[in-house]
Amino acid sequence: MISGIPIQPSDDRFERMLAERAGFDTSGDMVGTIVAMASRTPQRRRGWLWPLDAPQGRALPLGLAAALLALAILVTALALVGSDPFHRRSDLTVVPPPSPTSGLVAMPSGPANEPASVCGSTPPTDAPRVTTIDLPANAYAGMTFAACSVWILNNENGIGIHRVDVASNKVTDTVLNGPIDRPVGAIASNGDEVWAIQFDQAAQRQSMIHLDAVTGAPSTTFGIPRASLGSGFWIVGQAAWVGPDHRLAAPRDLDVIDLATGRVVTTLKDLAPSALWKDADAVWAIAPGATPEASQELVRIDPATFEVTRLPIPWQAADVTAATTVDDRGLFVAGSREIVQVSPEQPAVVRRIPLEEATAGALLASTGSELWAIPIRPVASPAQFETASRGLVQIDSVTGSVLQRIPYPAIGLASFGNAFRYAYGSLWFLAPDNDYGRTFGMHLVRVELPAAP
Amino acid sequence: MAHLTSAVSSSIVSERVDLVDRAAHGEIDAFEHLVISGNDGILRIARAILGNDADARDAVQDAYVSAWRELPRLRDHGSFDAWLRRIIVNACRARLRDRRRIHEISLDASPIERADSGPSTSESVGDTDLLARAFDRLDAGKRAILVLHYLEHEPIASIAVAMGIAPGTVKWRMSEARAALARALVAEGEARR
Repeated sequence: MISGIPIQPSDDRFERMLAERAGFDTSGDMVGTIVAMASRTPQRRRGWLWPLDAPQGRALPLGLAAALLALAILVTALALVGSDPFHRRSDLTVVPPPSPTSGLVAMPSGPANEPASVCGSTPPTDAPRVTTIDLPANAYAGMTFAACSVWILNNENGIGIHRVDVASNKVTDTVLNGPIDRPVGAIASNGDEVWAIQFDQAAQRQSMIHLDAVTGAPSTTFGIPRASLGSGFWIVGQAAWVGPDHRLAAPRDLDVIDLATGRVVTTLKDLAPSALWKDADAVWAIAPGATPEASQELVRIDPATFEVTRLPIPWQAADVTAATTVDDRGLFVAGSREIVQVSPEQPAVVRRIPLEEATAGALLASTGSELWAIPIRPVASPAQFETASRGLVQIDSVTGSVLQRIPYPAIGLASFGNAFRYAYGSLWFLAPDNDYGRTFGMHLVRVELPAAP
Repeated sequence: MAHLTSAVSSSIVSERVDLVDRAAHGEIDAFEHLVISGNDGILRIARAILGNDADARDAVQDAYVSAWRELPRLRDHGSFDAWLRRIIVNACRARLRDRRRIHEISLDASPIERADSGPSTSESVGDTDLLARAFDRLDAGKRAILVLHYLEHEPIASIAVAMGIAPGTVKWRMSEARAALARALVAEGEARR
């Protein structure tokens, strides 16, 4: 029983409330309106770039078929050079951005600093090379990097972490696979070690499990006081920082756990970061702010004393929020239609970089010296996906200008924490099959960047 | 008798799949039959999530228009009902976002309202009303998962499809939603003192 609760929400009482709320009026009067609206709405045929409907029930004359094929090729070519099929398709309606979906851990370390050649990877390239890698399942909730592998948390059945070998671009293994009532909620790595949080639904307890980075075999297991689902789990040095998913309401406590002993070193109250990282002097986080003017705040945590200093910074987080750092230029944070450059030391916003296409925010990644963004735009869709983008954009971290674009139009990119990262000489993100016909269908997308001269 | 029931069920299912198939090929009459047969249930879900008949009807209309538009891309026509439930959940999410945005823009009248309505004790507010107000504090995702479970009695697998999450995650999310409802009840109780 929860203290202070005025009535106990028994199942019976709750069902009655919902039934009363749902009502009993029939909806017959709506049918005519719905059908009239539908009959004025063109159906979207399969294939993004086939704009014309073939006449139903009749074979196309050969000449007309050839003309239609030529038109399709032309439209495909236009799409590949960056023109935007979304804007030209008037049946796509822009809706208000989805509810907050993402946090991104900053700080390149470990694999981000290792070139692809360390892993015996694919041949070097003079231009960005895009590879899509098939994955066994269709929904993912986490991604991290260690031991020349990309570790991807399978969320389709709540279990399993897939390893993708960087050298071959293939899934080589699946670990922590089952049972279904013990889902893996989050994964994280410091580049050398991989840890996962698993929730035992029957026993209502959660564990933090160390995975051997080479074999994937689970070894050390610690019970922990609270679990994390998707976001809210970071390995920083020799400590795990475990907090609630920042999208959940409460409780918002962040545990710092010693990886050697599993002991909770400290619990930081009322702190649910969407991003967390460490520099030479401190641990930094981005967390929900307390005022409408500053919906996000920068948090500095002293690694020795765990003293928390909250620094309201005047920027508005977008629904897809991300942060990364570039060299010594400070922190770059995605907002709505902009990327905000923040100096943590001052602390202050030093520059706002307009990014008009990022109406719902952006995913950000850094190679250390290069800043990359995937601007996110919301679109109406009957599928669960609502995040759409035209592709990747490299932004000059000094001038704010766009340096290059890599087209990859997609609807439904993964936008959980760490959904866009740089490691082993490549940018990585998860995007769905562009065919709406499949309810699911995610690929791991790898964009290999040319080595710096 | 069991064979007959099974045969009838199979026949109903295949008729429905046939309707979906025809609607996916542009037959508006077939789509109308799908709307007639499914709309009551969809409207119930929307009303339960949104708590407002006008918003629910708008959400249902939006959902069906989306379904009509995207239907040719649905490969598994047998999953139409689950797919439609996902659409209505998303349409309700969008409605709640709109409602929240409008509330943020307009003047916050709630302090004035509280002053005008006078003291309100838990004894003067029906339990059902209190529960409904607490439910209104939840976000769309939590409302949807509770509605699908408690009102529609959907199995876990079906809820997973409607929410676009893994079956293993459904139980977790449901327990989060129940905990959030309990906290909301506490908050509602305190708001009335």
